[in-house]
Amino acid sequence: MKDKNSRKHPEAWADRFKQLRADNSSEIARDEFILDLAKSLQEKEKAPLLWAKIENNLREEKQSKAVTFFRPHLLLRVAAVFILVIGTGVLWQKFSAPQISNSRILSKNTLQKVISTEKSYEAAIAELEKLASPKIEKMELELMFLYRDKLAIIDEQIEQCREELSENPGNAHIRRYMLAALQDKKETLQEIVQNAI
Amino acid sequence: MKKITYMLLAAIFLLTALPMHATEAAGSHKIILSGEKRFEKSAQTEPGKSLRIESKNTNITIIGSSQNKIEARAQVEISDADDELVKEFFENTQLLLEEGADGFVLKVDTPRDKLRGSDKGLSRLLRLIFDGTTHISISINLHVTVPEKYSISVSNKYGDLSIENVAGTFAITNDAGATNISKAGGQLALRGSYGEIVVTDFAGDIKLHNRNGVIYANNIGGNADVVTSYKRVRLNNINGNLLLDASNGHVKASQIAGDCEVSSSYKEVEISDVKGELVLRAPNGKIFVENVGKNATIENSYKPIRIENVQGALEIRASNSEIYAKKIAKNASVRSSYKSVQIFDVNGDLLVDGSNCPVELADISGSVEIISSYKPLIINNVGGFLDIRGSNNQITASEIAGGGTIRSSYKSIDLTNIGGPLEIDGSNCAVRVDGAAGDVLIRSSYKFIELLRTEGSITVHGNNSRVEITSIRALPATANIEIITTYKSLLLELPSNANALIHARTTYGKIKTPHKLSILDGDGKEVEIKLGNGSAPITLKSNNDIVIN
Repeated sequence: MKDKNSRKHPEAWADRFKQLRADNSSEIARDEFILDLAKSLQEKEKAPLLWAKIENNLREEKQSKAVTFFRPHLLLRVAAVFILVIGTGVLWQKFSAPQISNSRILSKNTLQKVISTEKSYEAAIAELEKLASPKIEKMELELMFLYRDKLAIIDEQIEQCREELSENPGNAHIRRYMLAALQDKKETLQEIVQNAI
Repeated sequence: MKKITYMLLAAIFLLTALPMHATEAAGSHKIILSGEKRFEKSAQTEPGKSLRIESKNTNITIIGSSQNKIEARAQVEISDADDELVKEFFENTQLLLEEGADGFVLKVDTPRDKLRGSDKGLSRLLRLIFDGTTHISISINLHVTVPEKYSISVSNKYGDLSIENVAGTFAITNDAGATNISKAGGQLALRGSYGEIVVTDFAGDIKLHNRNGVIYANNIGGNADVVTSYKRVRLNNINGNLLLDASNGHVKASQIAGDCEVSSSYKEVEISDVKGELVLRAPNGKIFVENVGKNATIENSYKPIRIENVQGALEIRASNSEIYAKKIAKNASVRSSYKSVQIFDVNGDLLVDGSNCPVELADISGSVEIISSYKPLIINNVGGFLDIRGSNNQITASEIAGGGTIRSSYKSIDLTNIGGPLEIDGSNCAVRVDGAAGDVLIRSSYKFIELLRTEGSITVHGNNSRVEITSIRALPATANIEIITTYKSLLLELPSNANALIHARTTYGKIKTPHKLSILDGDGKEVEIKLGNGSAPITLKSNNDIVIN
């Protein structure tokens, strides 16, 4: 009905349209947005170059995304790098292999690992001593004296090292001799247990 | 703005990483902020004087130089988280080189005890937190040059010691540290414990005492006196006498120009090329000896002994040891038990006392005496007399030039080519003798007695033994044959040209012979046969048959 009137009277139609537009401005704006969007989605090119265009678009899209990645404040970035560097250093120190190579004073981490090794030796020795004691008692006299003397010498070495380490805990040389003595004792006890002689 | 940011980041990185890098470069892993300082001292001196070093936790290197001065450089390293303490430590540390009446004294003087008391407050707390200790770790490197002719005295602990290119008198104690002395000379007295001792190219006498530590010595110009326990000893090219006491150490010694006396136990001992005399005591240890210039004496038990090429006499006193000896230039005496004894090529007499030992001997130029029981005895090619005092031994002997006396029981006795008189006392032994140049006397029982190719008198007393004597090679005019047995038959085959007067008697058997005989009793149990001129008397008695061919 409205359409019929507007065809018949163009001026009236224009006025009428202005009036409606004023009354429904928000709805019109929405319609215009939808129309614009529809236009942008329309196929502008023909099929042969479609995939090349798509790939180009995707590439551009990626680049634009990279450029527009979230960028925190400069101080935050500095702090992150600082934490990264410190963390890497700490991890490197923590997980680097324990060595008593030529260093004269052991690092804290290496020292802890060496002490841990010493403790594991001591635990093994304690277990072996339980097994070895009855075997020593059953040995022929000469061999028994020999083993007792050997173990006494090793114990003396361990005790001397321990005493020295109480004042010089990070000294690699003393630690090396301590480990050697513990290893010697472990091997001697194993020899007794296994009746190697 | 970006540039400023990058510079800031780089600065932070460097500040953070550099301390780690610095400690890395100096050693492998050190406590962050550890301290290290170098000290130097020097003094003019002249060859022939002495230097004494008293130290602890110190790696010492002493090198002889052509200059007439002592130069000492010390590198002291300590661990601490506290800068002030490190500073204070080094301010109070000094390298002392002082000249006294007897020579120079070198010492690194550190303030450890003093600082320990002043280590209070925050630094102590920090160390307790981070290190778990309030003590300072310390290590020292000391490098010293002295004139090439100089005497050195060192007392050190928990550090390695190296001396090179110095000749003089050395009095060294280095506990819990390796000691290496090379290209040196003079007199060396070195005591250590737990650490390895290495002495090479030393022109002079050495005395090494290492408590539970390895010892290596090579190219020693004089005598070597070595004591250790429980660890390996390797000695080579000692241009003097060697005296080695390794209570429970594996020993290897070679090229000893003088005499060699070694004792160890329960571990293997290898000795070779000793020009002088060897005395070796190693109970319960395997023994290998090769090339001894003079006499060799070995004591052992339970473990094998192998010895070759001794230019003097050999004596082995062992118990329960397997023995192999070869090429002994003079007499040899071997005692063992239960294990095999093998001895070859002895240029002299040989005594083997081996209760329960299987014995194998060959090529012995002199006489052989064997005391044994129960186990087989195999003897070949003996130049002298063979005397076996056995019991229950199976005996096989051949080529015995001087004859033999053999006592055994129950097991067979098999002899071939016996060059001299032979006496066998074998209770219950089967006896076979093939080739006997001298007189033969055999006593046995119950088992077969067989003699072939004899050349002298024959006496066989066999109780219940079958006896066969055949293929007699020669029957001398003065020979006397007496064969007596019981219950078993008796066979005697004489050479065709024999001159003998045979008297044969059997109790229950028959006398069979192709020869003409004279019957002495009524029923032919006792006969007489005369062959040739009848010069050799032959008596044959048995309860059983007697066959005379």
